[in-house]
Amino acid sequence: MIKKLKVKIFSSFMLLVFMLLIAGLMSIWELRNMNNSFSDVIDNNYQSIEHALKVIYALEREDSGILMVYLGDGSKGLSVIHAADSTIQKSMIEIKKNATEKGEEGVIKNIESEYRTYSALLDSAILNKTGTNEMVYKTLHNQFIKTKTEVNFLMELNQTSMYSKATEMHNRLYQTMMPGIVSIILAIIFALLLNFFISRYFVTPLHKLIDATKNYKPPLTNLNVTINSEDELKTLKIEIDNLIRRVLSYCKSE
Amino acid sequence: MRKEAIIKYIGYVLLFNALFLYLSAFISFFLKETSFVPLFYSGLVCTILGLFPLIFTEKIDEIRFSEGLAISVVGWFITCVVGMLPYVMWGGEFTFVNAFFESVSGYTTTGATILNEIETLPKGILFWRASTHWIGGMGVILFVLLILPQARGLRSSLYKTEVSNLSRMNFKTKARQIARIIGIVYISLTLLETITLWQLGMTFFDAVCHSMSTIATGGFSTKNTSMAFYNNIWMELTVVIFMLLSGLHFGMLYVTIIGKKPNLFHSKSVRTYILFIVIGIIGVAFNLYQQNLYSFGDSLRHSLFQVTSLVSTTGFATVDTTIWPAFAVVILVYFTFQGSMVGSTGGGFKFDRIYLFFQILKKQLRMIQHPKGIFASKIDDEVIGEGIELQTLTFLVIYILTFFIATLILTFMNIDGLTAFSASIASLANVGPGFGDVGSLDNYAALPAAAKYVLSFEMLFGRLEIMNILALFLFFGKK
Repeated sequence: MIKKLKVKIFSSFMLLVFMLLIAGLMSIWELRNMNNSFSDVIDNNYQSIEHALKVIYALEREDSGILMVYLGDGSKGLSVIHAADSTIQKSMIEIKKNATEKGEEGVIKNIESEYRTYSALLDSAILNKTGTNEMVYKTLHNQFIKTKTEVNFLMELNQTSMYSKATEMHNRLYQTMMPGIVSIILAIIFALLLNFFISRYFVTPLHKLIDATKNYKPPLTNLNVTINSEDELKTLKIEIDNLIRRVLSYCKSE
Repeated sequence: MRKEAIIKYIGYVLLFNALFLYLSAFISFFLKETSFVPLFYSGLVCTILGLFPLIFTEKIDEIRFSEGLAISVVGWFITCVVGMLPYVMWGGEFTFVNAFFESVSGYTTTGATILNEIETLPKGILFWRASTHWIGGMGVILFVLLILPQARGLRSSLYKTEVSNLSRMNFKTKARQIARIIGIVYISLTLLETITLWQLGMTFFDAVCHSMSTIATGGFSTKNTSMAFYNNIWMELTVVIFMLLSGLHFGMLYVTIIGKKPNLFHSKSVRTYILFIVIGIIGVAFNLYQQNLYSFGDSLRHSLFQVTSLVSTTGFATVDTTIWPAFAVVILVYFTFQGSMVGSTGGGFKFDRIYLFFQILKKQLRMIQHPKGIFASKIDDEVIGEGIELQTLTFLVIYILTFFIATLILTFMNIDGLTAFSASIASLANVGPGFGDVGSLDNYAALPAAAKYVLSFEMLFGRLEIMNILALFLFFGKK
């Protein structure tokens, strides 16, 4: 049991400060988690989607390049194909770097494998220009579609993850806000409780002492009041009683 | 009434709740779940609010009856309010009213839920839901009595407000030992069921949550389809046995376990209680089989589980009982009303009171036959005083009146008759599932917010056995 008024008041305020401090720390913790989710979305999902789009665009350029070669514009067609291949290689490096989702690495491996097959077919079509249209539109185009489907799958994977992270962030935002709201309500309850306890344990005994002092009549040797607490107020009452006794004995001796 | 005494002991109640909140927070932290902050912060709120009164209040040796009553009633209400904090802070399906409903339903061991998607909840929140059942099942005040190193007078007056007169009669020990006996039986049964369910193939986490729920006769499950999810007859049988045990008087259960007499096997009221259940099970099974709903074996299996679930006021489900024929439904509604025995964790009107009611009826009929004769009603050879007789009859009237008024309010909100009727009795009896839109495999999510508040207060009325709340109003009125 705390026996000093100063400690009582200090402890109650410290509890309030502690609660607000923790509420602040909790909000920071949640904000930090939110920041991580933001980084995840921006660094991983968004980058992956961006590079997957580049790969799709480059694949379509390669598809156009082979048509140019077949239509007689060989040099332009070849340069388009080489530029697109270079874009695909660079983008694949970035995609690999940002592979954080579950199953993403498997999808990347599939893309690489399908693209290798597509590149081999593309090389053989360029070298053997006498190939029939059937070879270009069936085998090569089918492989182009397969590769593109895998890249689309990678994009969907990241889009789904982005959506779920956005939902999580929405919830986190709510959870970041809640400790603050609860703290405000709690601070009000705290204030009411503090007011009650101060009134009950400090103000009421003081009023009792004041009334008892006002109503004191000699030759009583102590104040007609009971103080239940064990703090300084009780000491004050004891000291007033001692003072009365000393004054009475002084008066008697005079 | 000394407000500081009431605040101080409610503080202890909050500190006790904080323990379970920290445990749930630890699970969330360990599993890196989003519910860590809501659970931990709620625990902190309980700790701070619990510690605060201890700074100022002096030692209190004696608690008056009116103060004990206020501690019990206000303590329950405040517990329910702080219990909703993790839900509100976590969000999802938990709006303010939903969180309050779920919290009250948890602590009062009703087991009615507003959740459509239970399986997507973080494990920390699921554990907290089960914890509210477990804390509420034994009675939050009794739990506090178990751990408080205080004077005998204090235990006695707090205990009087938490345990009914009729229930106290069956305990052959002093008040200060009763909390300990209940605690031992409660914890032992929970451990035993956890181990059994775990051995039968349930995950450890689910086994713990289901055991806490069963022994408290709550009904919160970690699965959307309750016990039907497992479709395992051995798990169902285990749960049935523990639901039955939890519906019996814990004092008698303790005496039976330690091998003393008179125990459960000597009690006529227990034998009659079991006989009622057996008749109910056979009646429902026969009706289901006759209506070609299930095979004979399945009729018996589902009847056994559902009757035991409702009579013990647990509320677990293995099938959708809303499609059952009217005869079976009426039997189930009766068991919902009747509930378990006094001195158990179960709710409802309590079988002992029905038993006593018939004893009083018998006594009255004999008095008509022999106007000058002296007769007494008895339970297990124990003469029941006229005070308890009067209390029981008054309780019956108030119980029916509360149920009727709540049903009336619900129908005023355009809720259909069957749903309103069954939701009202299921809430008042702390059972959980009803019929209509709130069937055994449904939930209370679709009800209007006002209806959820009405049902929440009905659950609290049922858990505190109405009279305590009315008596407290009387004390305030007197002031």
